[in-house]
Parts: sequence; C-alpha cells; structure tokens
Amino acid sequence: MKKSSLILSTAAIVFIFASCKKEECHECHYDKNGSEIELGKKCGDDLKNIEASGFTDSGTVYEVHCHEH
Amino acid sequence: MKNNLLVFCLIVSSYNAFGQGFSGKILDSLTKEGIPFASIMLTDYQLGARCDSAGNFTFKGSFPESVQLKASSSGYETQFSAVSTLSEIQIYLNPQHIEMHEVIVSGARNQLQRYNSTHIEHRTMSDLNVIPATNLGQSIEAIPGVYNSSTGNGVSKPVIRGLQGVRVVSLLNGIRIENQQWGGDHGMGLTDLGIGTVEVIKGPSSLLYGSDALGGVIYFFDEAFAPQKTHELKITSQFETNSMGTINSLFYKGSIKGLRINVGGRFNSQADYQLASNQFVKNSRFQESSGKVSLGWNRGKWISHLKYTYASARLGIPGHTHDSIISPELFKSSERRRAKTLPVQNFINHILSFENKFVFKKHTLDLLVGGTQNKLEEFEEKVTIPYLSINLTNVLYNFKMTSTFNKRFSAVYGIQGMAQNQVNGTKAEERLLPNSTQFDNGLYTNFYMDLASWKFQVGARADVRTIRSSKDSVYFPNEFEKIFGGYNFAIGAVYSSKKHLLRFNVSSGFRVPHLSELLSDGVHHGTFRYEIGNRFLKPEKAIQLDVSYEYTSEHLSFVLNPFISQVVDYVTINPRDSIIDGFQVFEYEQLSSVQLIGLDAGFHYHPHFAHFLHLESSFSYIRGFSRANGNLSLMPQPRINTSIIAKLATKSKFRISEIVLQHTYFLPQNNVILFETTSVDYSLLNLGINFTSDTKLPFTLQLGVRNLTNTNYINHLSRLKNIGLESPGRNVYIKLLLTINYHEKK
Repeated sequence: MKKSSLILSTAAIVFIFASCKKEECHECHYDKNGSEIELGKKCGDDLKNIEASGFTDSGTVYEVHCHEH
Repeated sequence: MKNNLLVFCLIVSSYNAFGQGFSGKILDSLTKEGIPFASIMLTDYQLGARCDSAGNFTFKGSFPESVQLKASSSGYETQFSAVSTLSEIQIYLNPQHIEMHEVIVSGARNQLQRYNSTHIEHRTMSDLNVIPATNLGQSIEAIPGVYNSSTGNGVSKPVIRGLQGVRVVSLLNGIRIENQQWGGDHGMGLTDLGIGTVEVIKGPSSLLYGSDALGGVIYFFDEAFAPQKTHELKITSQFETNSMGTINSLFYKGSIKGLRINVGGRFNSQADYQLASNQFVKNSRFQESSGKVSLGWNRGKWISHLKYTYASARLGIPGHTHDSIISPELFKSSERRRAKTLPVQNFINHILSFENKFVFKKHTLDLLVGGTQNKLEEFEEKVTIPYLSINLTNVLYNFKMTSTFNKRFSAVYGIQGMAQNQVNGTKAEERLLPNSTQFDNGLYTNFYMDLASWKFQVGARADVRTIRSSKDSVYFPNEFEKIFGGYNFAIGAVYSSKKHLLRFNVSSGFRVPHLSELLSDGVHHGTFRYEIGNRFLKPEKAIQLDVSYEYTSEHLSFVLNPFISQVVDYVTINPRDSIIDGFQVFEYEQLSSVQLIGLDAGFHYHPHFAHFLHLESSFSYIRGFSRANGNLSLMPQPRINTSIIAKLATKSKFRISEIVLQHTYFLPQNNVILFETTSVDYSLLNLGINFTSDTKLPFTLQLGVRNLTNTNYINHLSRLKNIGLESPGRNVYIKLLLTINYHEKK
C-alpha cells in the first residue's frame, strides 16, 4: 500500500505540474504614417530582439508591437 | 562522560514515559450513550479521527500528559477542552441543531468562539463553496462584513469593514501573504487548494498581527491531516459555462505512523467572461497554478509542521485603453478568447512555514518561522519586456508562549517580526517603487481571566518598523530611511450563558505608510494614473469599539454586531490638476480623522417541523466619512445575504444531499466622494443541487447556476465600474469531487 500510495501521489504531482515549455510566438507590426505594417510571426529570441531594438525602416527605428489590443 | 550518559538515558526514558497513545469515548450528555461516528481532533497536531459506531476513538503514538481535543458531531455543540491522556477520556456533547461556536485559531490562543472577546468569523471552505466560486475572493465574500474588490474574474481583493489593500492582512498558516497588496489590481495571490478553514477578524488587530491590520485579518488555515493509518486521494474537477472555465485539482492526504503528509496541485483556466448581454469582456481571461506540500510529525511534547505553498497566475487586465474618450463597447467583443494577450499581470508566490510547538503541563511554546517570495511582472506594450517587475522576499518569525497559571488566569506573550527586501527587476521599463528593505519587530502580551460566565482579556503591544530605500540615477534620486513606532492595546470581555452571549471589545491598530504611499513616482498602469508619494506621511492610528450580542436556542440563533472606529491620519490618494506622460496625476495625502460605523447582523432558523431545512440571513452595512471632508470613497454597498439550504437524508446510495438557494441583495450606494459615481441596487440569485454517492468509490456532484436570472450589474467595488463594464452574467457550473479512501489494517 505504501508503495502504491507513493506512486499514486508522485504520478498526481507529475500530472499537475508537467507541462511543455512552448516557445512563445506573436504576430508583430509597427505603425508608420498612421498605418500598421505587418512583420509576421516572431518567436523566441527573434521576438525578444525585435521588441527590444525595434524595426529599422529607411533609417528610422520604429517601436514594434507584438500583441492585439 | 558518565553524567552525559545519564542525561542521555533520562532523555530516552522520558520519551518512553509518554504513553503509546490514548483512547476515549464521545457521549450524548442527555442519554449518556456513545455518539456514532463523531469527529475528534487533536487541534495542535491538526490530526483528526472518526469514532466507531459506539463513539469510541483511539490515537496511537507518543503524546504528552495533556492535549487539547475538539469533539464534534452533527446535531451537537462542539466541545473544546484540555484533557489528560493518562486515563480513559470521556467527552459529553450537548444536543444543538445550530452550530454557532467553532474553535478559533487566529486569536491569541486556541479556544471556542463563545469564550473569545472578539467576534471572529469562522467558516470551512466546504461551507463557503456549497455553491462553488471561480476564485478564492468570491468564496469568502459570503462572510458577513467581507466584500470583494474585483478586476474582472481573475483579480479579487478582500475588503473588510470598508478597508482593503494594505489595510487588510492575509495569513496562511500564520505566515503573512505578501502580494504587493498596495496595488488596486493586485489580488490575494492564493488559491483555495488545500485550505480547510477561513477566519476573519474584523477591525484593528495590531495586537496580534502588528502594523497594517487596520481593516482586519483574513486567516487561511490548511486542511487537517488524514486520520491515523489512513490515505485519502481527492480528485476535483469543475467546469463553468460563463467563462468556459475549468478548475482541476488532485490532493493526497496520508498518515503513516508518526508522519503525516498532504500534497496536491490545482490548475485553473478561464477564458473571457460573458456578460448578461451575451458579449464577452476582452482580456478578462486568466490562468492559475498552485501546489502544496505539508508535513507533520510529533514526538512526546514536540509537534512540528513544515508547509509549503506555491501559487502563480497569468491575469489578463480587462478595460485597458489609451483612448481619451472611453466607451464600454471598446472593451467588449462578440468573440470569446483564451490566448495570452496584453496587458497582463504575472505573479509567482512561494510561501513556506516551519512551526515547532512544545507542549508542557502549563505552558505551550510555539516557534514559527517562515518566508514568502513574490515575483510580480506587468506587461503593458511588449510581450517579452515587462513594464513593471518587482521581487519581494519576506522572512518572518513569531515566537509565542501560552501559559496557564491556574483555572482562572492565563497569558499569551511573544515576539514577532519580519524582514523584507524589495528589488526591481532589471529588465523592466519602469520603476514605481525604489529598491528597499523593511524590518519589523514587535513585543506583545495578552492576559486572560475566566470568572464563571465572564471572561476578560487585556493585551498590549509595541512595534518598530524601519524602512530604508536606496537611490538610483533615473527614478529615485534620494535615499529614504525612517523608523516608525506603534503602541497598541486591546481590552475585552465576554459574558456567556446557555442562550445569551454578549461581547465588548476595544482594540487599537496602526499602519505604517507603505512605500508606494511614501515614495511612488511613476505611472501605475494597473490603475491608469501617475502616482506621487509623500515621504512625510505619518502612521495611521485606529481605535474600534465592537459590541456583539448572540442568542442561541435549539432552533434559532441570531447575532447583532455593531461597531464604530476612528482612524487618525488616514492616508488617501487624490487627483491633481496635471498630466504627466499622458496620465492624470494622483498624490497621496492624509485626512486628520475618519470614522467608520456599521453593523453586521444575521440569523439562522432551523424549523422544528422541518429539521432538514436551514434558513440563514445576514446583513452588512458600513459607512465611512470624515467630518471635515465628507464621505470616504469605495465604501461597499449594504448587503443582505439570504440562503435556504435543504439537507436531505435519504437512504439511497446515490441521492440529492443538499439543495441550496442563495439570494444576495445589494442596496444602492449613494455615499460617494466627488468624481465617484453612485451605484444602483441589484439582486443576484444562485441555485445549487448537490448529489452524493456512497458507493465503494464515493463522490459528490455539484450542479447549479450562479446569477440564475442573468442580472446585468456592476458592483460598487468593481474596478471596472468607472468604465461601465459589467460583471459576469449567468454561469452554469458542474463540479465533481471524487474521494478514494484507504484505511490500513490494525
């Protein structure tokens, strides 16, 4: 019984807490002259970099948004 | 060397001197017959047992000569007493159809509610969830005098006697929960996983809990461990139609020889909630995860509990906009969504407690140490870069001695404190508070005198809080260091006869201004305002007179609990006629004096001709005002809660065990401040039917509807009220609780 209890509770904890760490992806865009310019889906490090550095278009750095409002 | 050996032998033999358990019987005081399957609990050990069909019980193991036992059974008045384990124990219970007085643990000492000079509300989670709630805040809202300040479904903050946030202290197993309560959009940071009971102390409670407990205290207490040689696995699954929400949990309780263990996990996922108009509120979605591990063991005079709780959440913040002209329609959608979007608030909480109790003949020494860690991140415009990120680490201690000098006099005295370290995350775009440390130390004592029907209590406490913050080159150019002191007292008396109970209590409280009130200087997106602190704020000081009268007969009970309190140097935040970074500026200031008056009242009727029926009703009213400045803002609407519960006892294995009809009427709130809108009255109706199966695999099935009439309403304390966003419409729920029990053979 002890062994089965232990197995059961361990399985329960694993079941509750086990989850796959999926890479986060989002559709990104920037605003230029009043219109949204789509940049497509960005994931992982690409997503981090483009949010941190912005997007350069014709020498101008634009802030990038990767979420819906 | 010989002496050391002698001492060792004495210690070993002293352990053996403790009996290998004890046994007893629970009897009906009138018939003198054993009460079948009555419950018995060793309160200090958090260990329960169930009597056999003749009312007999046994506890095996090593126990001291005297233990505190709680004996209860349906239809009887709960008994709580210290008993000797050296001889056979007999406990007599008086028949009572209405249970009024439970054992209170959040007071200075464990005792029955009827002997406590403060009216403390005690509820089991199973009673509060007779109609299941979506979050913990909704569950405790059923307690008279307790309200819920919500931001949609995901964020709920407790409000006690009109005060909330940093003026309410929440504890789990004696450890303060720190979840950045200063923020209007920062919730409790806890789920109901593994919580057995909730106790609420209303009004200033600094005597026991130090600074901040001005509005009151909410004390969550973990479920008791499984009875000895018993294993229990609970599987719970809940589904709600309004937000397509699922709440699943698994909880194991085991008691193996001297070791007791509780372990479990819970996951809650809710999509955007639906309004009465059938539209959905954008970004009201949220997800919560929580886990808990509790260990307990004892040997002789020593009882030890080690408890860890984990809680994390991803909370969508509804009602967000940068538009200057706001229409509620902006925040509504015809489509329900669950995927992560912005703005969002993420938090992770770790709560650890380690309690060691030593039970001597006339003294009990309780050493509690613990810690909490809170990581809060708010994402506003960027998915990977937080707008606000704060890490708060808190280490706490409470060393308490309970001494019983003789039958009449006893005392509780101790020292309590905590050390906090708050650090801003380096990746965050903004800092609302500086990096800081805070140290609390307090010394307290409480004396009790028992004179037949009268019990008296008097206590005093001294506290010191030191706050230090460091400067940084961008946000906070100046350092801050200040020492705050507080002296508090409480004095109370209770008269208790068989049917009548009268309590008087005068208590004081104080609250040191929070860092956010002293030093804020930035945009708080959760509240959509630019907040400026005031480093010259003084501590708030409160005093409350609380009187309660209770009448209990076999079939009727009622309680009247009026109160009046005054808070000096009340901190408030008010708008200024300026804009910074596109947000209106709000600045903290103090009102010289405010008054809070109110009443909690209720009755419970259990008709003799229909013993299965319970009619309960409570009324809560609070008015807050300043003589110089008029009303206080955000005072709850007066509320009448009424419920009819039919407890059916048929003999079939699968049966309807309870039918519950709850009606809540919120009266209008017209006592508002300038720029605060009034609220209209509304009614909510909930219906629940609970089924029980007593087969080999026992289960409970709860089925019902919250907001049965699909009422379109906005509570006065909803943070979405200002933008006209309503609360959830009709919500059909189904909840299954499966329990697998295993008793080891003797």
